[in-house]
Amino acid sequence: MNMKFYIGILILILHCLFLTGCAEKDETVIITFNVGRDPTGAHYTIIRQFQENYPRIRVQVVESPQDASLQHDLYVTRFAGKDRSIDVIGLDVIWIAEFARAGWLRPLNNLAEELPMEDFLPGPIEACTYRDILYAIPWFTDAGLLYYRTDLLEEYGFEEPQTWDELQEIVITIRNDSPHLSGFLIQGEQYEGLICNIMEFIWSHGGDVWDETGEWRLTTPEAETALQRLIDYIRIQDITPRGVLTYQEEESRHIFQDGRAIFLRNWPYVWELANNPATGSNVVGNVGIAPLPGKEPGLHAATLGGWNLGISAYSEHPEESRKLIRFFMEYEQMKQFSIEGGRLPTRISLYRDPEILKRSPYFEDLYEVFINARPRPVTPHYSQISDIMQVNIHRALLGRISAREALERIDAEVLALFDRYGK
Amino acid sequence: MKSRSYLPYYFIAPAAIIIFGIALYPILHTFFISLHQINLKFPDLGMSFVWFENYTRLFRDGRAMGALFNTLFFTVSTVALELVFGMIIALLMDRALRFRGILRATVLIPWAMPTVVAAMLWRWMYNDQSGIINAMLVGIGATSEYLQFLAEPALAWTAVIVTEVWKTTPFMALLLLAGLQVIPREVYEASEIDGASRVRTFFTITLPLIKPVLLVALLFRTLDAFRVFDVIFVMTGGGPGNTTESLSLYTYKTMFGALDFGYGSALSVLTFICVVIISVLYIKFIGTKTQ
Repeated sequence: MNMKFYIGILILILHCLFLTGCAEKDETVIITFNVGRDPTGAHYTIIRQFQENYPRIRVQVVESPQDASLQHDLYVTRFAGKDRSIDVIGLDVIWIAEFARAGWLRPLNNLAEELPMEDFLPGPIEACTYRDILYAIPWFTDAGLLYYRTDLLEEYGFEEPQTWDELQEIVITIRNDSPHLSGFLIQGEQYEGLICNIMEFIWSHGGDVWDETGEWRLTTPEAETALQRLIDYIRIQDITPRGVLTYQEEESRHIFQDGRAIFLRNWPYVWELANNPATGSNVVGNVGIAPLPGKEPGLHAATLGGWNLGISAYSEHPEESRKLIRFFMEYEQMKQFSIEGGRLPTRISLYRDPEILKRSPYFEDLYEVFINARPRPVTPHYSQISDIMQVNIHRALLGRISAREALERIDAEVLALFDRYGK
Repeated sequence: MKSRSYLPYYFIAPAAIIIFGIALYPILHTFFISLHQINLKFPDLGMSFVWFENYTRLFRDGRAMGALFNTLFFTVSTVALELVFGMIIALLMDRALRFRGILRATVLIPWAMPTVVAAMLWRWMYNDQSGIINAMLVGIGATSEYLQFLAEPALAWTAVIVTEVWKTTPFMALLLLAGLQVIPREVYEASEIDGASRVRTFFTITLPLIKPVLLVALLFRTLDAFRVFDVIFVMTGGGPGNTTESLSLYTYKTMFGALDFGYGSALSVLTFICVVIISVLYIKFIGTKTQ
């Protein structure tokens, strides 16, 4: 019996080998589609359609961890080893300068000629361009937003907050009656998301990492005020619970949609999930969405996020990969992906599409936020700079060092990095 | 006659080649790379020989020194706790006459679990809002509000150390049990007749007789703990505020995040030197005491 079992397995294996051998003769090409795990899984629908339209191309989805830093390290290791099994790759906006500088991405200028580039959002296109060459096509975009509980704000007669001071006042008033509610949730673990959050704080206080002459300088009064405000929120005023120092997007979303928080800073994908009773959300219909507050009204800022599709320089199937990217960028496919996945399209015309607006009515009001979202420092050194910032800012949020010390240390370490490899 | 004298070398050759190939060569190569400035992210900058620049940078790098300190702290505290708990468990298992087999198997479960899985499990148990540990602490009234386990350095350290001790005590216990079982029962009988107390018996008979096994177990655990990566990587990622970053984790971030292979290799060499020092100390200790 045992023998039969093993022989059976052996036959099965040989059969599989034989089948793939045949498939190759049939010129079916298998390309890999490498993306981070997406809880909505919307890309599978588009890939199914693609395979129906191009029966000779099979797409194998290779999912990597949702955590963008883990994904980055994984891809970097594979690229450094000249791994040829990556064809189409989903790229975070912050990686493109770095990967392009290293020569790991295939220039896509010829693909750009086949697409209506003037219809794409300018911010993401800029992030996909390094030294005037386009290395990726924006797939979907992202921008930091403020989520709030409409029922709570209405009950207490508040409007959506324009400034950080207003947000503070709302939190203090509501928490007076319901101390068990968290005030304002961010993503504060020592990881990439922390930088997205902190950049929004810095920008919304009028600061930036580059000075007027384009030199790196983070130690400014604006940045210090911004960081100090967040430190006070966490360590003194309890506007933000200390637990955020261990939260990523999903942890903070769960607490918000359980109905245990008043405000949440997060990406647009939360809208879909928080309003869907099937996800176990307790706040369906009570979710408001607004631009993040500023130091003064109108000074709000959002970090540009989003993912882009590129082709590995080591890919053996660039032609098929190009077809897949082009398919994802078609008006209809991007529309469907955007509706199913709750993602922000990168084509401007989709923001006027009635079906999209029916699905996500807030697109119309927040269009200005999306189009003005700001990229994190665009430099091939970004991943190291991010690591330096994560360590020092997390220290400051822990109360280990002051806001000013954190900023000074970041400046010193970043300048040392530029010294070593050139800016 | 002459051919006979060469024969032993032929027999040794395969082993020597394998040892050189898989142990010595990588170490020498890492040391060679550590004398260069090389970053795979900047292929055009190439590989330039910089003598000991990476090492001078290392000793001025507060983060590297912090990681070294963290690693030493982690090693000393986990190995000490494992020794105490491992000894207690081993003594209990040595006494137990019935169910010894089942007992041994159950004790081994934490050790058999992949570290990443165990660390993930504990990470959820430590979660500040929905973790079972907070629920239990509040339930028995030990604390009135939820603790932010992984957000405060002291608590994060405790959490990581508890996980590691839980995970590896069984290994220590099993090695010690093996040592206990080879002690002849007559020695104990003799001490009983002489009227020695239990405590006295433990310190003058049990401990000296299992010392060789004990030192080997300690050596294994110390070297293992010194290279700690997975528990910390999964549970804290080196946070909060980099207070739990170990040497291996920093090396990983330097090598695979930043692709700075020159400096990363220097960090690896530092780890290697520390491990050699630990081994030499232990081996010296084991050697003199057993003779």
